[in-house]
Amino acid sequence: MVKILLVCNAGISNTLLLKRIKEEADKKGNICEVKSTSMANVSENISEANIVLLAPQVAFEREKISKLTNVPVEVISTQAYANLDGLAITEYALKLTKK
Amino acid sequence: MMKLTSMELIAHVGEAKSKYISAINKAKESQYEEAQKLCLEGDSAFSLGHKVHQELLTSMANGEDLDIDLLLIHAQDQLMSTELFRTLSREFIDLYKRI
Repeated sequence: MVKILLVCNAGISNTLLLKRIKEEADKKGNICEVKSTSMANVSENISEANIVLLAPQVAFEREKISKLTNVPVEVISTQAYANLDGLAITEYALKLTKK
Repeated sequence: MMKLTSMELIAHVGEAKSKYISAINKAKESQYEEAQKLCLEGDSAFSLGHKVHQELLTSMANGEDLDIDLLLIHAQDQLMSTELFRTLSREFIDLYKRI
């Protein structure tokens, strides 16, 4: 089970994206769990995550968040975010967590 | 669809905001050339966001009914705060140079 943590600044913009990612992940079977959090609550949620994906507006926090975990911390591309491309993002997460 | 327009706006200005903040961080580390480069990258992203916003303003001017929801309000909010960072990032770079 790959646990994806999505981070944005307030949580509003991730709401739609979260839904799209969940839809795409469910299509692939029960292999992904997605959770969304704001910057303020990152430390509470990061310990369970297998991968952390940042919205473009918090890309600058990447270094800071990387210090809190050993798992991959990457920024979602502006394109994928703008298009709510749940499929591309799910596949990106799966690719990065493949050992 | 309004939701995608809002997401597009959030994505572009979000990327710009991160570039501006990263630029300030680079200036803090005395890496002024890198800071300048990031500011310009921020400007490009901001410009794309501005285009999207312009479409909305045009629709409004044409008397079209805009579906105003929390996501759009958030997008507008992000635009204005990125505008602020755009101005401040330059000032901060100059300030760090002076210190």
